[in-house]
Amino acid sequence: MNSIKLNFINKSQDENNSNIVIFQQNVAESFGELAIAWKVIKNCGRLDNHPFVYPLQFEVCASDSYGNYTPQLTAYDGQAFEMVKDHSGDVLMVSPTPATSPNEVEVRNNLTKGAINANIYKDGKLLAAKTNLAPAQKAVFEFHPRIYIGVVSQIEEGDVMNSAIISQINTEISLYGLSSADIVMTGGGPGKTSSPFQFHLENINA
Amino acid sequence: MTNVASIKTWYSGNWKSSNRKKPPYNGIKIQGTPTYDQDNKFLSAKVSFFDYTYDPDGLQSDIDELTPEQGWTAIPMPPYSPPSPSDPPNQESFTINGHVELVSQPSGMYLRIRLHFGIMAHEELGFIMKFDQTKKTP
Repeated sequence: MNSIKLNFINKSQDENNSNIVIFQQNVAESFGELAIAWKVIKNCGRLDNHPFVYPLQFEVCASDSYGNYTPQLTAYDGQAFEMVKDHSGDVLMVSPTPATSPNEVEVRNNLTKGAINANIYKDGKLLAAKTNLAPAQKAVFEFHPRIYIGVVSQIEEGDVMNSAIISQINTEISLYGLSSADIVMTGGGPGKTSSPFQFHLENINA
Repeated sequence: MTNVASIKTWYSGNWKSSNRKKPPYNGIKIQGTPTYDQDNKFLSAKVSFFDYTYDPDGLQSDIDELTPEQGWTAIPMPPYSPPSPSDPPNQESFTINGHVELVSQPSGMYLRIRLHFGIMAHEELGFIMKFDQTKKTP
């Protein structure tokens, strides 16, 4: 199994054309780590559905202090990558030394000078980033098999989510063992009859 | 005659390796212990819920025998114990509210949850652990 098939279904009474945001948190980093809006579902009207996949692999890329971005390289848990200077310039390559933990992906700055930014993607969308890594420093990425989902206005994919936004998002879906599932949103609605948005899993398959 | 296998443990997403200094002291922990018959076929699981929201030592409630046939089963409150004068009753401090079920799938017997817990009624959904349908013997 290379990916998990998810299908968002809007069964809410929402009349505000709300955006649905999905993100993960990098558990390898300590306090203060900011999350990034990985997927934002927009204009998904009542009874519409929005299928998407959650690949098990990642892609990583780095950017250097000159504003150059490396190609995205496919990454799996336990792999490490290093930014080095070769005859062509700064390049990102798989490191012969794996990550410290088999559950983590590392991006190391092995340049002699200049900071880099390390970005990690899933399904081509930015999932997390670590900025201003000085030479000899590394970014460590680890994600538990769980996603956070909630209703947020005015957010775009790739946006950094501050703690105020994150605190509004209260639903966590375990992806452990899943091969496919429907994520059904209910609630919402106008006026006094409005109820909080709720999420449910249906048609769940391991 | 029945036999049990090793305990599996799941932690909520807000779990910290060490407790905080004030509520919420920590998240929740769920442990599952499968039981097998004499032919090593899965029978049931004991499921234990530990809530550290208001109690740094954790408040525990148990479902002693959860079977696939039961479907969604309510998570029980912990047994009542008289509080000390300075503490709230333990049942008021137990914040886990929801249901669990065992789902038989070709790849195993999965424990599924839909529950809320904590000060902000954090919600958790999905499979959290898998038991072998047939106990592996050494």
